[in-house]
Amino acid sequence: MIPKTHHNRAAEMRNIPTRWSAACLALTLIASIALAARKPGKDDGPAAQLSKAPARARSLQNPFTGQSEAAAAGRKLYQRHCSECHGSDGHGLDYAADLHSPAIQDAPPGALFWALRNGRIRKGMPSWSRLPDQQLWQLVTYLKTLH
Amino acid sequence: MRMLTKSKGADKILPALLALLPLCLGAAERPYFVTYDHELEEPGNLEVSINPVLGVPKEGNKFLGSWTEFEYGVKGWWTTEFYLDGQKTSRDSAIFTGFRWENRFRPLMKEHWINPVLYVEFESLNGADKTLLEVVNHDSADDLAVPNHEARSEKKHEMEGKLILSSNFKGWNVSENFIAEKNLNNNPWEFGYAFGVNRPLALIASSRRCRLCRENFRSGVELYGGLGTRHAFGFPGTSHYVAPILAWELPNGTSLRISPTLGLNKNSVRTLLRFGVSYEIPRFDRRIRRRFR
Repeated sequence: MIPKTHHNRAAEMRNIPTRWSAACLALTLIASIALAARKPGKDDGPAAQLSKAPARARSLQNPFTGQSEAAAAGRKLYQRHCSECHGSDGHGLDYAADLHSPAIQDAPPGALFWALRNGRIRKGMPSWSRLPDQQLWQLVTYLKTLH
Repeated sequence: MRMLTKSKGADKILPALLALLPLCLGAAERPYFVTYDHELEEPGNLEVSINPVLGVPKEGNKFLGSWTEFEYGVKGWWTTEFYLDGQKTSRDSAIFTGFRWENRFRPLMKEHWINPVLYVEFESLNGADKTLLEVVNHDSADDLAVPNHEARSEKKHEMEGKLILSSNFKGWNVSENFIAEKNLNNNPWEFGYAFGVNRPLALIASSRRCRLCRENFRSGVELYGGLGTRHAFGFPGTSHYVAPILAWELPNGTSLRISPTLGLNKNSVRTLLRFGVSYEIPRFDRRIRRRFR
């Protein structure tokens, strides 16, 4: 057994903050995984999700309402970003929502905008906040033509 | 001759690989090379990316570092990536320098003013790595002047953590990364930072199908560098870079990126030129399941 010298004890003391940092990092990771992996509530379909949109978001007005040019641009964006999950016709593939459903077609444009911006990350739908607001509104304009 | 013999396994694997090639490609790679934003890979999608970096140090030979990146969306809140690194130095050898495995977790499920992402990476690299993907500690251009046969003998097994903070506002993305790296050989913690900002050239999409529309381009700038160690924290003796970036997202989902990078002080490599090409295979998981069902 190697006797503990003053030098060894000093080295050990220096390692204490390192161990604490590693432990904090590990704890933060475990906590974030646990937080993110929580099971969603039972009533977590598209209608329930859209109903969670805050009143301020629901009251937002689509600046492109009724503009065919915006709907055409929205269709282009849809084919590029959304069709791989929701299908080229919008009826949904696998677990992705049917965009023709009343829950989505009857939702206020502001709620759809909010849903696109926030996504349903736990359910696998990404947040599209990287698209500028104008392009999200173009997408909403297109979605409203699907009924 | 044995190499030319067609094996039974190859009969199955080759068509499977060809079927996985992207016919219709999805979303694109982030425009940054070094900085991370809070966008994670879509679940089930696999993105393959090749990123060469050409370096012209003040002293020493020119080099071409490169990393190949495989990014997979495990969940909406969890992305995992695997990197293979290599480099070729002028008047020296071409070598494989190691691998990295990283995971990114998004703890908050909604979009906020500032969106945190936690990043954890294990890397097993040798000292000859020249990708300059993370600049930490007192990394400097002098490290890159060491001949490959000497530099490769230094083995680095490191854990790295990043706190990624990112915001999207009116088309702009602003991202800040705080980096902490620990060599598992009981070296002190090393620190670094990266900051990036970018924006599409047009906020409104045009209705026609086009490759050169302004909305397909994003431009911005990155700033990154080292912050010393736990014992010598701060800017003295560290290297820093500024890098304008231009990214082009083609409608079929391919992404091209370029970034001329300038060293900001005497410790930095004078000039770097980064390129990136990315291909995304949408719903890679579904394709695999179908192929091997």
